[in-house]
Amino acid sequence: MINLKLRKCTSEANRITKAFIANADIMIQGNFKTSENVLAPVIQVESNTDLSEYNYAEITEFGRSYFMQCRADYNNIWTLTLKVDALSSFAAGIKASPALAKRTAKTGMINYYMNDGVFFTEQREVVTYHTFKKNGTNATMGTDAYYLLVAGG
Amino acid sequence: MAGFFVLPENYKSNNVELYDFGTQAIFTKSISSILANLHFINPNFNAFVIGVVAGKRQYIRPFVIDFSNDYQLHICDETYFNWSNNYIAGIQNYHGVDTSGSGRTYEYYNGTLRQTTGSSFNLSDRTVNGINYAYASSSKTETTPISEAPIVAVYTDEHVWVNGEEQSLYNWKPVPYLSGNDNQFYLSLSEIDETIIGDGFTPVQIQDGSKFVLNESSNISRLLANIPNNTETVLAYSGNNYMTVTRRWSEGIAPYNNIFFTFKLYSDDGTLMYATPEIGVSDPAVPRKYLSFIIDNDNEVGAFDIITYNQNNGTYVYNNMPSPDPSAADMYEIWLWLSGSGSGDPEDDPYNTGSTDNGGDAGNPRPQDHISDTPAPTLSGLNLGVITLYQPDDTELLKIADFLWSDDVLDNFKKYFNNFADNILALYILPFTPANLPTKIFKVGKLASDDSDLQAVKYCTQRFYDIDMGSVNIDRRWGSYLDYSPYTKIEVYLPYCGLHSLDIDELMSPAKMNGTLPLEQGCTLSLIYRLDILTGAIVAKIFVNDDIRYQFTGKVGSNIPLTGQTYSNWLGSIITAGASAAVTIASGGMTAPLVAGSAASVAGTVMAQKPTVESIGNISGDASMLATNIPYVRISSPNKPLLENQEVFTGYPSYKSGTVGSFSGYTEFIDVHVEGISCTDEERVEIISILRNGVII
Repeated sequence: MINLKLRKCTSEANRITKAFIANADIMIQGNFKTSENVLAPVIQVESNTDLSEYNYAEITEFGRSYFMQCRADYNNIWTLTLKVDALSSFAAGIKASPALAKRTAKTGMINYYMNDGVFFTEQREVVTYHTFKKNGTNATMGTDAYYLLVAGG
Repeated sequence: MAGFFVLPENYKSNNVELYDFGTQAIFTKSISSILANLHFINPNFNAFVIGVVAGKRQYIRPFVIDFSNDYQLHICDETYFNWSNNYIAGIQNYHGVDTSGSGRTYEYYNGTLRQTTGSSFNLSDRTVNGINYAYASSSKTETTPISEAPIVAVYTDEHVWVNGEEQSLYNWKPVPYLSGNDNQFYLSLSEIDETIIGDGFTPVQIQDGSKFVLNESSNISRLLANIPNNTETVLAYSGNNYMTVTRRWSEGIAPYNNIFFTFKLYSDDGTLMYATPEIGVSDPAVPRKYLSFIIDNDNEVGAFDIITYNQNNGTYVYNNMPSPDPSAADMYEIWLWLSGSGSGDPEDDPYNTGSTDNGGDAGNPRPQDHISDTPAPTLSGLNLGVITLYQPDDTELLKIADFLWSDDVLDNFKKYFNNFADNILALYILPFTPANLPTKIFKVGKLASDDSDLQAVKYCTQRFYDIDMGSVNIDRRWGSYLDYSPYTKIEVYLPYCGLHSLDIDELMSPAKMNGTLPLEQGCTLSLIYRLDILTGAIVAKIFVNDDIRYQFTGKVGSNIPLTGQTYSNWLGSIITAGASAAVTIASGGMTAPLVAGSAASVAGTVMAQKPTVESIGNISGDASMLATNIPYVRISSPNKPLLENQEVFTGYPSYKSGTVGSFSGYTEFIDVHVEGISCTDEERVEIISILRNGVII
């Protein structure tokens, strides 16, 4: 028998720390259908609970979390097809791992000067005009004046 | 280094280095030993006092840090330490030295910092938690050598020492004021535009503990001189939010010739959070106002403080603030602004280019040289008697015509010259009138006019004039690479010199004198025209933050023909100039391919497809007098869609390294090392693949 915690996950698959619907977890026991790969086991359980709303499982013995799909077979027998969630299963180790980021949303780790070609610009552009000002008014050279150049004088 | 510091969580096991301002020596003590000997530390309270010393004036401001409440910092009021006797002389809630024994102390009790007054407090019953307990000239016997002073860490204007290392934290911090004036806030860091507030060479400094400002006179003068009138200028940036200053000069409007500043705080989306009242800085009738001010300290960071000023004998003097000027509601708005600012640490600046090493040298500094303007040529030829350049008005010009064309004059001229045109060299109009020209009798050759209206005609003794043509601020629009080429372009229209392209890359990030790029973006363009009034030649000099960067030539003036020969020459020059202009326009058209681009092209592609349009042809010489005479800049910048929820979609460019946990939100990694995880190879490959394709942390 294998002990499973079934959970209702609301997070994206690529989120390291998953979120779950509160107070919805159930503990259940089941059997491997055959000799199974620990990364993708298929487990048969018997339960009169509707397991179709559960999409996530944790197996403490394996120290891993799994994405889950379930199939109702017969007489409260369910087949749970699991696939390891490597991100969540090893979240602590992953977070401590050194990495070089290409893109991030973390303030302080962003460099807006980098142009990696992801963002798009619109075809329209803004053209603005700004005058040179002197004491708050538009600057000019001054007023017109005549100049007469003569020899001698 | 501006700012305060907070002791680490395991502070009791750390040593601190104390700075003795009396002996100028640094010595080490353990915090635990200091705490054990401090009888003003009440062990029932999870807080203690830190002295903050502002070196040269020996002011000190005590801190209390509440370790049970997220290290919240409380700052006491001004105090004064007298180091002359090598012990702490007392504390006072106001300015000056307290030698009367009427010092005030502070205690942190049940989460509230409060003040005690009077000289009768008992320093040995462990009921008083504040600084301090000894008086220089009283009967108190409890004096403490500096080596045992209750200073567990020392702040100077440059150093905060903890456990042998400089410490600093740069976060906006609220500071409830001790004297009942709650909700005063104290900022430890902001980014400032040195080119606005300073000269780029001399840091503006403030010493946080005392609010004593060094070089205040020169600094306020620079602020007065460099902030343009009636133009809201971004002065400080905290990482997200920013502060602007607007200067108003009341020239011609009562009160006369005063300068006023208004400071405004904005959130990152441009929402105005708080605006100070208009602050007059040169009005002696209003001697005390509260000035929100940005202080540059180490050329990277600054401190925002609220200080007062007086005008005293023509100098500006900062005063300590007896009470906050903004109301509690105002300060709440400031707090909202601050709380949304995130960290002000330069390392967290979203525009920080980071320290990623991608090979090559580590970025050796390449200090640059200051290029200032040079004086105009000293030899003008105007004062030698060979030629004279008159500047007559309309009436005088009429009289001059009568004088020149009278029979008597012609007769006299014929005595000396064969050709009258040789004597009248040129008559033209310039859009510039020199001030304070001297006058003399109008003469041609050696023949003086006896007309009463021509006895005092202005004439020029100076040939070259430098004319201030104002300035304009070039600000960022997006705060990203889109503010740079090829996406953003800038041109400048210079009257009589035409339209010229400038380097937007340089203007957005003009390198500092030490060769590094500034954190702030943008600059101030100043324009000076050097005019040769004898020939109409112009050199337009464009300064980028006080350094000359561009020089363009032009020609100004409208000639008035005096003879058939001069008219023929003048007309010929117009035809030649017109032909040149036509060629210029045609060339611009030929090099302006209009390429239809895809609306979904990425930024670079789109901007590269934009056509080049000639908006101004050849403007110089006589025709230039007919064009607008106002200089301006033309900036074209791209539009981008304003995306939301980037924390879960694509994130922003990074190219920085750290642990995976040091990133958050949507993150894609170029590479990651997960060798330390105990998992299968299949899982390891999957983890790396997911991290490269993007995860939400």
